Amino acid sequence: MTSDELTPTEQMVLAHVKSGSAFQLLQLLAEEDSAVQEEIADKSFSLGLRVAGGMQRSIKVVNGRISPVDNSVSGSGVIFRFPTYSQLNNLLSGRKSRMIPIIKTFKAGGIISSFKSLTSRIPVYMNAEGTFLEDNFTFITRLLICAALRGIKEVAENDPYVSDRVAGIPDGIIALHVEGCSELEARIKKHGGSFTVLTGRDETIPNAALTFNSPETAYNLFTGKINAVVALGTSDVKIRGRIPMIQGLFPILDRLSFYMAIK
Amino acid sequence: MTEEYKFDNSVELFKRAVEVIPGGIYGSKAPGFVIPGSYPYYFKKGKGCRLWDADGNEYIDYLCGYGSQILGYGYDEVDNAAAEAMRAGDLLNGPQPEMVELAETLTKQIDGMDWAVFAKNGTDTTSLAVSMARVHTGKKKIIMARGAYHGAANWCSTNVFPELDDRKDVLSFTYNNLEELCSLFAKHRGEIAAIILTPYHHPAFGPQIMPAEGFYERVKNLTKAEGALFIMDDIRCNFRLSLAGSHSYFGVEPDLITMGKSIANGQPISVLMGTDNLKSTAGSFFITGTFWMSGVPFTASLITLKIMQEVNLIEHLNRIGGMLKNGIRSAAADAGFKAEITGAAAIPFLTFENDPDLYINQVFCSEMTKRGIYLHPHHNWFISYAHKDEDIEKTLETAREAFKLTAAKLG
Ligand SMILES: Cc1ncc(COP(=O)(O)O)c(C=O)c1O
Repeated sequence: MTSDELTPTEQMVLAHVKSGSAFQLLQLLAEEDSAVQEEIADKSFSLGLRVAGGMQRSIKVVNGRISPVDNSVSGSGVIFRFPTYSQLNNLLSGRKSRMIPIIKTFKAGGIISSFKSLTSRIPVYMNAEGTFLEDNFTFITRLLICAALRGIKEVAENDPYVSDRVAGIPDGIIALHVEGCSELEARIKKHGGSFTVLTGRDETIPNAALTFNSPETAYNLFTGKINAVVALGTSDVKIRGRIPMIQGLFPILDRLSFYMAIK
Repeated sequence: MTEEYKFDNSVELFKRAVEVIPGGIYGSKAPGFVIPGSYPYYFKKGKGCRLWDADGNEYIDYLCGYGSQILGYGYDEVDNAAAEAMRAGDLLNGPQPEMVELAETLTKQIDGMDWAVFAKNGTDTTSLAVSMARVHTGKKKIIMARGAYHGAANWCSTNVFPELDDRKDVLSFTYNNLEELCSLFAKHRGEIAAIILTPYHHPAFGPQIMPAEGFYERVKNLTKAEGALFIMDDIRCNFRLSLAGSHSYFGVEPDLITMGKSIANGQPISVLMGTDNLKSTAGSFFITGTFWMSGVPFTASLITLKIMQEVNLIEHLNRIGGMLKNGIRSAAADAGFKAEITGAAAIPFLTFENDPDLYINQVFCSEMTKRGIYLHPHHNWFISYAHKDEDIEKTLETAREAFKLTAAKLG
C-alpha cells in the first residue's frame, strides 16, 4: 500500500509517525554516529516542518546535540511548508514533494544540505545488514526500540481509530528492559491523552515493565522477524506490573505496523 | 524445598496454536493474562480440586474452571447422570422434560424470580437481559460499573473498534460512587433502560469491593424513579454466597438475574431469570441456539442443585475459604508482607499493601503455581466443595515457602 491510498486522517497520522520517528532517531544518532557528529559539530540551527493548518515540529541543532521540538517551528532558520500531509509524506518517503521552503536566514542553503545529510544516515542504520549490523547491533536495537516507542506515541496521540482504546489505558510509565543490557532501557509515559518517550536509564519503579531476554529478541521483534504473541507465550518477552497498560499498547502497535508498512 | 514445574509441552502446543489460531489462545485464557514462564496454558485432567496440565504437573486449583466447578472437577454423581443422559441420546429436536423441571426448581429456589430462560454462556444471558430491558422500557441506555465484566459481547467487552458502535449507549460509573451514579441518572433522565451490577465488584487486576452501606437502596430508588430495570449479574458469585441467589445474601430485589458458570458444575448452561411483570417481554423474544436444548446440562444442573443443598455447600465454602484467607494473611505477615484478601470467603483475591501494580502478586502467585498451587495473579480465586482441610493445609505450607522466596526475589 502507498500513502496515496490513505484517507486524509491516515495521511496525517502517517506524517506524525514518520517525522516523529525520524527526529527521535536523529537525536540518538547525534550521540553515536560519527558522520552525524561531524555534520553538526560547531553548527547551530533549527529546521521546521509545517503542514498548512496542522502539524508543526522542528529539530534544533546546538552544541553537538539534536533535539526534537514538538508543536513549534519558532526560531527555525528554514521551515518546510507543505500544503497537505500527503506532500509531507512524499518528502519523508524520499519521493518528489510539493512544498515551499520559508527562508528565515541567509544560511538556509547550508541548513537544508545539513538536514539532507543528517537524514541520509537513518537508513544506514535502519536497513543495516552484515558486519555493519553486527558492529552496531546494540545501538541499532536501541534505535528500533526508540523509533517504536515514538511511533506508539504518535499513533496514540493522533489516530482517532484508537482514541477510545487509548482513553482506556491507565496513566503511568511502561519500561522496556533488555536483560543484561541496561543501555537499551527506554520508557513511555502516559499522562491523560499524551505520551512521552523517555530514553536512557531511570531508577523509579515503572507501573509496568516489558523485559526482553536478549538484545537479539528485541531486534528480531522490532524488525518483525519474530511474532510478538509467540515471544510473549514463550516468555522470551516478559510482562510485569500493571498488565492492562501493556495490553493497551497492542492495538496501538497493530496500527503502528499498518503505518510502518506504507510505502 | 519444592521443585519448580516446567511447562515445555504447554509452550510447544502454544507455538503450534499460534500458527492456526489467531493469538494462539484468546480472551482471558491468553498467556498474557497470567505470567508466561510460570503458568501452564493447556490442561488434560481434573478431579476434585486437583488439576493436571499438559506437562503432567499436578495442582491444587483455585480457579475452578473460572468458577464453574463448584463441587469439584469430575464430581461422580453429576458426571454419571450427565453421561447417562448423553448415552440416551441428546439434542432430540426439542427440549427434554428436565428443562421444565429445572425451570420449576430454580423459580422455587431463587428469591423473587418467576421465570427462567436457558442459554449456554453467561454472555448470552447478560446480552439478552440488556436487550429485554431496552425493549421493556422503550429506552436504550445501560449503566454498568467501570471495570466490571459482563461477558465477551461487544456492548460490554474490550472489543473497542470504531466500526462497532455497540457501546454507544453504555455508560459507566465508579463502583460505590453514588454521586457519580446519581448524576448519570440525572443527566440521562428518561433514557436509561437498566443498570447491570454484579453482587459485589470483582474487577480483574485489583481488590474486590463490597457494596457500600446504602448502595443498593439508592440503586433501587434510582431505578424506580427512572422506570429502569435492575439486572443482577450473578454469573461469577453464583451459589457461592447463597443458594437462593447472591441478591438474597445482600437483601436486594433485582428485576432480572443472570446465572451461569457453577449452575451445572461445569456443564454448559446459563440462565436468565426475571420477575413476573417481565414475562411477556421475555416471551416476545426469539431465543434459541442449536445446542441450547441439549438435555445433558439440564440433568447435570438438577443434580448439582440438589447436591449443593444436601452438602450444606455455603457453610463448607465459608469455612474453607476463611481458613485459606486467614492462613495466607498470617503466612504473608510472617514473611514481612501485608496481604489483603478481599471478596467473599469462597471468591477471594489477594493483593498487597503498597503494590497497586501487582508486582508482589505476580511473584508470589508464580512461585505458588510453579510449586503446584494454581493461584491466578490477576483474577479472583474460587473455592469449591472439593477443597478440604488438608488441601488448605498443603496450600498454606507451600505459601510459607513461596512468601520466603518472594521476599528474597524482591529484595
Ligand atoms: C460477572 C460475569 N458476568 C458474565 C460473565 C460471562 O460469562 P461467560 O464467560 O460464560 O460468557 C462472566 C464470566 O466470567 C462473569 O464473571
